[in-house]
Formats: sequence, C-alpha cells, structure tokens
Amino acid sequence: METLFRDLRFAVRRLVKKPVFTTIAIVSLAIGSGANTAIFTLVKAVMVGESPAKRPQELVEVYRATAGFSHATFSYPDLEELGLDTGEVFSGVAGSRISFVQTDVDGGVEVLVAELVTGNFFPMLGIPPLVGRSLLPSDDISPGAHPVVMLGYGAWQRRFGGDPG
Amino acid sequence: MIGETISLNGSEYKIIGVVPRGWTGNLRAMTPEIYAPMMMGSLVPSDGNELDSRGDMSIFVKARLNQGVALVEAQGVLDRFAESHRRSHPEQWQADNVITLVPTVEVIMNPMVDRIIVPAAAVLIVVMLLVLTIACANLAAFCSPRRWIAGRKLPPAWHSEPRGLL
Repeated sequence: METLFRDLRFAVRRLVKKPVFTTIAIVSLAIGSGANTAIFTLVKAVMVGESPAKRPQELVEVYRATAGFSHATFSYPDLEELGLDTGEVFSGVAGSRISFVQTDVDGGVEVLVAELVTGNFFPMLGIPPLVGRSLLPSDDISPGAHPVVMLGYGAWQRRFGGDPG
Repeated sequence: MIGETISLNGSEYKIIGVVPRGWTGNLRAMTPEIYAPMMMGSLVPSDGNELDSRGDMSIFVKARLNQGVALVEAQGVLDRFAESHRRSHPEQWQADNVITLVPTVEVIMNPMVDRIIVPAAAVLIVVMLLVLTIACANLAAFCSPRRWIAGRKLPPAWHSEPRGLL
C-alpha cells in the first residue's frame, strides 16, 4: 500500500511538472471516454434496442423491389389495396411515413421529426401507450379531420418534463 | 399534459398520449417526436394529393402474419398482388417490380441501409475497444511510474530525480 501511495505521489508530481503532457493526456482520456459513450449509445439504440411490439416474430416488413431499389416504399392507394387483398395471410397491414414539421418554441421555430401512421399502426403492432391513449382507426378516417397527436418519449420528457397528467 | 395542444406547421393538434420509451419509430435511427394520423396531410410537404397519388411512393409498410401462416405462403399472395398491379398500373408498377417480405426482427432500418450500418457499427465497436485499451494502458502507466521507469534501465541521473522528489 505504501508503495502505491509513493507511486501516486510521484505520478502527481510528474504530472504537475509537465502541464502540457498532463493536459494532452486528460483531454485524450476525456475525448476517448466521450467518443466511447456516444458510439455505444448509438449502437445500442440502433442495433440492440428491443422493440416493445407484441409477438414480434409475426411481424414482417413489406417492400417493393424496383430496378434501382431492392427495398422501396409504396403509395397510399397501394397500401389500402394491400390491406384489402391480403387478408388470407395477414391479420393487419399498416403504413407509416416520415415528415419534418415546424413547432413554435419560446417565440422561435423548432423542426421536429414526425411519423404519420395509419390508424391501425399501434394496435396492429400491439404497442400500448405509456400515457393517455394510442392513435386508433377512428383517428384516421377523413383527410384533415383528425388534429390529434401522440408524443414520442423524448419529446414528452423534453417539453413536458415527463408530466403524466 | 394530455388534452393540451401543440402547434405543428401553424395548426393546433391535441395531445392524446405518449408512446412507450422503447419505441423509437419505424426507422430506429430517426426517432420521431410526434406521431400523427396518416390523414393529416398538412404535416407532409406535398401538393395535397399524396393520399390519392400512385406516384407518391413514400409509405413504409408493415404487416402481421396470421397465426400459422408461413412467410413463403404470404410471399405467394404478394406475388399475385404485384402481378395484378403490374397489369393494372403499368406506369407505377414496371415489369421488373416485385414485392419482397423480410421478418421485422431481421431489419434494423432498411435491408439496403443495414448492409452499410452493420459493418460500420462493427468498425466503431473495434475503435471503441482500441480507445478503451489505450485509456487503460495510460491509466496503468500513471499508476505505476516508478516500476515502469525502473524497468527501462535509464541512466542514473534519471533514476535520481524521483528519489530527490520523494
């Protein structure tokens, strides 16, 4: 133990005597730790995160393969027809699209990522709401007639401090 | 908070719920903050007929297999669907267009993108491990400088300095 303290004292003295080396070493460690944390967070979010969907082994992604894209998307009329014509093999067909929307924040404007989903999207996946209720088929009947939204977990924490009320 | 409104693209929307923490959206890397009904087209930059246009191909589709239905069986039904659409909508469904099914549990973002991000993530993990190794080596060197210096057989003048300091 005494040796360890002696070594530590010596290390501190050496570090104090070489401030440039010490600064570089500390900054390197800080950057290394920060980069590791960022990389691990990204990898965990994208690759390791477990979906809360019920019976995920029954879910499939449906893609349109074209000359340029092997896994491309559909039009809304195609989606509706898929739902109508595939009942013998699918218990549900749901769609979503990504958009960017503007919201007012403290007199300024913020851009948010929004996902527009069909009314059966959350019920079909079996994802229950954390707070309140889910979007339902009754919220998705007439164009422009259903001004309701669910918040993502992050937006709920950031904008409302996780208020469950 | 439930029942409050939020302004989106200049219109007020009522907040009805919050998705669970583990749900990060259809494209995991692009986590949505807002989920709205598909019918609310004012949230989409378009000419307003995205729900009627077969040319507006921007919808990701998921499906749930009926219990006991195999992927091959579902693929057969989708092959017939694609064939019918190639005949009835030749402008949007070219002769080489087909439908493919991939189990959701095998997809991270999109199979095309996954081919890039999986190797990239592997490289990042290796980099992370290297940085950790270097950090550990640095820490070990900081913690035992005397033993390290002694092992290097440095000139007597160098050895005398730490003793003087201590």
